[in-house]
Amino acid sequence: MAVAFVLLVIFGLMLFVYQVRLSEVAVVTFFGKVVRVKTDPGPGLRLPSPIERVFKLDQRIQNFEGRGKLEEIKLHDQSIILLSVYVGYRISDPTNFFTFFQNGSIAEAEKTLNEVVRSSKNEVAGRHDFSDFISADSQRVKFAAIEQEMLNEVQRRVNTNHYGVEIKFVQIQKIDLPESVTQNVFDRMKSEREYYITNVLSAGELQATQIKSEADGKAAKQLYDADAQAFTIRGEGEAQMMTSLAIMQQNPALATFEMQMDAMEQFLKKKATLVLDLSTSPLQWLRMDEPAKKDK
Amino acid sequence: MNPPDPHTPPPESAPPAEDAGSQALSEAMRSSFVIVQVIMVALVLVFLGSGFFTVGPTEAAIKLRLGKPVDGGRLLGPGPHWAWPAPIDEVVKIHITSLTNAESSVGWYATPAERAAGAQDAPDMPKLNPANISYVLTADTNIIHVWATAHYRITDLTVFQFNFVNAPDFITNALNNALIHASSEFLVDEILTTKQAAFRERVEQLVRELIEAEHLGVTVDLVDVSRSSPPIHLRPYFDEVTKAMSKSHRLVEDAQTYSTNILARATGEADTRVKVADAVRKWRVDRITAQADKFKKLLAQYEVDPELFKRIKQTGVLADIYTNVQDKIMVPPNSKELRFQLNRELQEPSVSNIPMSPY
Repeated sequence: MAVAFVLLVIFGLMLFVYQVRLSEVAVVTFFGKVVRVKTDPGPGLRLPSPIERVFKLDQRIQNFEGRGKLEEIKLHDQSIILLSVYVGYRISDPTNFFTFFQNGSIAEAEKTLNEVVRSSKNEVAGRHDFSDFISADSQRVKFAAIEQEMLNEVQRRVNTNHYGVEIKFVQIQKIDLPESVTQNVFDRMKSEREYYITNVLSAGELQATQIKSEADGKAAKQLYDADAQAFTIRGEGEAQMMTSLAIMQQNPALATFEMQMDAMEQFLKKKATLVLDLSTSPLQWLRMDEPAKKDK
Repeated sequence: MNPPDPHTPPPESAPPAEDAGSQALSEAMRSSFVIVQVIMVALVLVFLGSGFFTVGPTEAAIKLRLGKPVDGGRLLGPGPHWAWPAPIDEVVKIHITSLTNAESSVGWYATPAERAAGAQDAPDMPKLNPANISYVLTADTNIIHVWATAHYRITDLTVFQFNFVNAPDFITNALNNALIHASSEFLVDEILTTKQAAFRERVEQLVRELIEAEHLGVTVDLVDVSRSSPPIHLRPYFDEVTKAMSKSHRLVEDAQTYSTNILARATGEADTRVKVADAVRKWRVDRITAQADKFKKLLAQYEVDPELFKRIKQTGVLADIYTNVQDKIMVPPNSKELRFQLNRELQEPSVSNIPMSPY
């Protein structure tokens, strides 16, 4: 009896109770018509199928990449780019979502959203110049602003059509150039590299020359300064010598003679070769003839 | 009515056939019931036992009861646990490691899977089809290839699991977006050479902002720009720039070496010149002082007979000179011709060669 009761309870629960999991939302239909939505997790009551049917939708943030062939977008300045985006959305109105997309099919929803995103992306991008996406002047780049514009545009269209979806983010995933343009870019990059090589070498040579010139100038100045200092020192020495010269002025002839003797001695001190003839004093005494004459 | 005689055998009264059958049936049912009870108990035990589960060392689990998180979504760590079997409880296990990586899937010429399989460089192509080869555009509209890796930790498992259908995919795409965005702000040479660190930091900052904005339940520890490269077709040109830069640096370094050397030499030479001047000054002053002293001593003798004094002095000096001079050549009287070889080696420079005359 108890077993039967237990079985009956289980069977009853299976027929009349359903469960909503955290992150899910349940849509209950009565003969195909949505009659209520359960958004909070926990058990709920229902009439047995097929009177009432329960459809569970995932309420977490879904994300998808824009699908399909990469298409060219003509920008405001007539440049052409290829743009891919990544979109995140969440079911915000389960009834609308369930009604619009067959039994809340995520695949159906993303197929529709993909089209909305594609046209919104093209429209928003077409309002901007290439420099809003890519520019050496960082002030001109409006990357985040363009993404926000795309998000607003997609959300506006989604709201208009009552898809029951909240767009959480639109992120630019790729910015590409048409294949033929990449060839031109490559050619320009080559030219830039060649120009850069010339510039780098010239700059290096210029800097090297400047360093050398500066060093030469500093070295010359050091030597000039040293010479000036030496000149001053010599001048000081000559001033000190004046005291001694005053003494010698008592007899300039003797002083001159003494100094000449000193000078001659110094001059012929080392590694000198003297060429003498025998008439030079006192070598005349080496000669054996005419002693009287020699003495002269 | 008399009581029955106890000695009288009871009248032969065999139990009716229905009673025996009922008894057997009852016995059989009792046995079956016991079996059913045992089976029921066994089933209950199996049912309850099926609630045991194990959380592995790289996992965490959240228990949901009737769809709601138990204990406010408390995480169950590695080890054995028990939950009511389905459909009462549901155990959600999440593979979690201390650090998880996400690799960018745009910007490089091979996908992450191809890179993991050791894909070689793409062939040299004079143009790129964006449907086949991925790249990024730099601020100066150059094309380069970049590949980044984000290292992150899951810090809030409940949010990570129940807020996003595919959180890892979001992180990969956030990294892609950050890479494209940051590339549009830097020049090609900044990304490839001069500002690699700044570029990496900018990518990391953007990834953090995107992830924090969506409350993903992860913390980004590091974003690493794994590789950056010019298009294969243009690599030789970029290599030439690298060589030119190297050559330019070498020129500058050589100039700096020259500068250091010449300044060191000049400093030494200047110091020498000053010291020599000072030494000469001192020598000259000392010498003239000594000459003055000598002059004072000789003056009286000189004044007695100057000519004789000179003669004596001259003779003495000549004697010293003739004695000490290295070579002496005597010319014979009446010589017609004299020849000398004047190839004497140069004297070594020294302080003693500096002119020492006081004047």
